[in-house]
Amino acid sequence: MTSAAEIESNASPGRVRSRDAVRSRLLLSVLTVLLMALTLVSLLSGRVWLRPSEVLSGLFSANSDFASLIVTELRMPRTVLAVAIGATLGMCGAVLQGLTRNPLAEPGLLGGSAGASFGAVIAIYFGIAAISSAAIPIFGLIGALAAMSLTFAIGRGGGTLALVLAGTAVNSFMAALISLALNLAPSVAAAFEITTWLLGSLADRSWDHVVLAGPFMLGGCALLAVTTRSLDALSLGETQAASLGVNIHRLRLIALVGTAMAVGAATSVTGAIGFIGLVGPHLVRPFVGYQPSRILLPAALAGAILMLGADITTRLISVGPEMKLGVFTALIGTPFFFWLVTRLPKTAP
Amino acid sequence: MKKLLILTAVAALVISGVAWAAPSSKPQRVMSLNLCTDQLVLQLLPRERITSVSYLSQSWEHSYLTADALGVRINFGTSEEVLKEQPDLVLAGSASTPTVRALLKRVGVPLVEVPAAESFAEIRTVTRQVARAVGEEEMGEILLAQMDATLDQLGASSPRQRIVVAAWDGAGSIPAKGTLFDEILTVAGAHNIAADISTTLIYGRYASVDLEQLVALKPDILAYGSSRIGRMDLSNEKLQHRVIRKLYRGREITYPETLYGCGLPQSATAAAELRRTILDVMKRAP
Repeated sequence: MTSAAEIESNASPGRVRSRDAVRSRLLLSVLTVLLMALTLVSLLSGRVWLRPSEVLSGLFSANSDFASLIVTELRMPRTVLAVAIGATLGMCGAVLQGLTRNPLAEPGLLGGSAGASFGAVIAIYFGIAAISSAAIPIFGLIGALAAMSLTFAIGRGGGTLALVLAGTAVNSFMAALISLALNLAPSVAAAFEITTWLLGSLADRSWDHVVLAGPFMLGGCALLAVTTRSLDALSLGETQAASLGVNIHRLRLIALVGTAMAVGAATSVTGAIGFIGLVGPHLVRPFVGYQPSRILLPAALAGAILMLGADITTRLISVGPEMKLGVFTALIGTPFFFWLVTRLPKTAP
Repeated sequence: MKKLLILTAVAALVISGVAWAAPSSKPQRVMSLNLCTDQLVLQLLPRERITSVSYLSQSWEHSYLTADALGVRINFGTSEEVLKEQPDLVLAGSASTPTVRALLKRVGVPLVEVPAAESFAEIRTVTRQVARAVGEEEMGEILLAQMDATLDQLGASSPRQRIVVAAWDGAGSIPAKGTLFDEILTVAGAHNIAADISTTLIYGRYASVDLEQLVALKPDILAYGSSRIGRMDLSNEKLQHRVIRKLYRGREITYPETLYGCGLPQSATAAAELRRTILDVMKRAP
């Protein structure tokens, strides 16, 4: 996949770069407009029907009648979280795909989401979540960090295939630990709560969640943003990158900690949401080429759009219990995964 | 391998079944495999006639009569335990431990399957069924008479105002018509909000409602189930949504989940307690 871009840019570097820049600027503006439109739709959609005028007055009026409560305390934090978490997942996916030079890489594949889920389950299970509400994001973060460190430690030195396999193994291990927690759950109610939480949802989240998880997600994304130059160099190959002065170990560490922070916090709010991190970067790559630094921002926007779109859809599908967001993204995302796998022989180096 | 094991178990049960089929009008070795039958047996029988009750009946989190169950042998509902304890009557729920029940039926160990009671009418049926099975009809009638006395009192002094209660579990599920909670709440004299919810949102005996809809339905009181040792889950008060904190401060009540899990003669007491709590909150409500 990198070779195509290399050949293209070798042919006529100046022209290609400027054409890419125009395309990527165009893409960014299209994505931004789309995201803003979806944000409006998100404020309008919910199981309770509010007229657009009610939503507008609810947004700007100071008095807390029931319409304004629904808009400001329920739909706004939910929208903000969907955008922030979608963007985070998209960005993590882009960085991990660049780092591992593997189109299938994403936080879920490398064990990050499962680790975060396990951390959060521990916090719920032992009642730590009841003592401090910050426990769930912090445990999620620790879980993600531990799981991804394990993946990187086991898969080190064996190339990308080993890394992906290590991720699969760590995923199974985390799933086993979660099953163990369910197995030993103190009551049926606790087991049920854990299961529902694991399905992944943004229903009934509040500003408290934004305040709790926001800083970690911001910090994680900031760390990831630092890696762009090194990732560009890395796309030429490890030895070339090292000769350009990139410290691969340091790069890996920053990407690892950044992803763990961002995904850990995001997962602790929503439960496991798969595929956004995988699909986001792939959607924008045809438009901006294969240079990692160009993909980061559009991938984040695409992730935000996917997440918000999926969340709006779950709110509008009304069949008894709300369809969980994690279930929905998994249903939509899996065919995409299949398609990627069937394409793999053609694109793999 | 599995087949062989089952066959061996069946054979063992047949042999032992023949051996301990003691002809007696009142069963002397009663074994209960289900939390709800546990709690009936513990009230109907002296301890020496109870061989064992299920492990849940000693859990503060699940059982209302934990104090009565202390010191009684417990079982985990396996066929091996039935074999070992050689009861002359086994009581089981009609939904749980299906393999054990099938096995007992096949080999003819006296088994009474007791359905879950979700209303006071069903509580009468179930209590009489168990009382008859263990040969303590009189004791059963005493328990039911106490229950009916409480129910009569409650019926005679129904609150005049309409109080709408939503049993909000924090995950969007509200018990509706056909659940024990709905029955107890109705007897307590309050109106269950589930009755106002569109039927498209009712699945089974529960209504699915998110926070938006809950706020729009404007219940007077929010009720949460609480276990005695405090909940270890997400519906914890500290994690309560801001909207709830804003709108329902002072208008939230908790009810003991152990009293609402099984339909028992004590369910009438639950209704009386619930009415007291509700009226108390309404009096002090902002």
